[in-house]
Amino acid sequence: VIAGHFGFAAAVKAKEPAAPLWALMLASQWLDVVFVPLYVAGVERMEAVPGAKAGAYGGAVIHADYTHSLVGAAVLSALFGALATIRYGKRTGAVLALVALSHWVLDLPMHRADMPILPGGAGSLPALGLGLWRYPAASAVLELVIVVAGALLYWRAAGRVAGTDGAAIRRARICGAGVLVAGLLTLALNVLGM
Amino acid sequence: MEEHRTMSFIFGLVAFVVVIGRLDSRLPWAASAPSTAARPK
Repeated sequence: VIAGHFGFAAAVKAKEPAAPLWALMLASQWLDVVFVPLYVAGVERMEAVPGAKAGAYGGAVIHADYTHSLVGAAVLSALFGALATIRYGKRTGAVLALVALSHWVLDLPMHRADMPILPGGAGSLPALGLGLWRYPAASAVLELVIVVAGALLYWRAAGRVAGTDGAAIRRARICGAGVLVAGLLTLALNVLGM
Repeated sequence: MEEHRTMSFIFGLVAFVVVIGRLDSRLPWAASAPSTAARPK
């Protein structure tokens, strides 16, 4: 899931105007951002499911046993929120921490059962994931709904804060359109395996 | 990250965090946000 996280962050911005959009967007991808160096280092990895075309949307088991374990995600989210609190205060820090943790929650229905509870899969507890990625079209539609809903909520909120100022209204429309177009393009690139 | 996810991931981060995030910061969101500053007694 990539675009869906951005869509959710846009929806949160509509309800939490004090939280900077860029920070909400970064928070929504925070677990994947940390995943990148661990993937490069060989600590976490991805493997194509048997029979899936290489690079197919949703066609991988993701062994992100630290960043995408429930406890690991909670710790990383708390860290993000703590850093944000220094700059933006407790409320926005808490919002950003929850948005970071929402990444795990939104991944849960999509992933195959590859998300452990404890970091590193410790304790041999069952890994979680409802496996909607077995049905790529359904997964893509769900992401599309989140992207469009998030963009619409953001559009309305941005329009409200712009008020009657012509320049602000123009800027709000550009931002709203940008959220929708960037979300759709991100989803399209992902579905195309890029 | 697998190569096939790299482009969508990087595109999304740049578009949302850098480009749209910067444009959004010029909107008057502060006017609609509840004040968190301590109120004088």
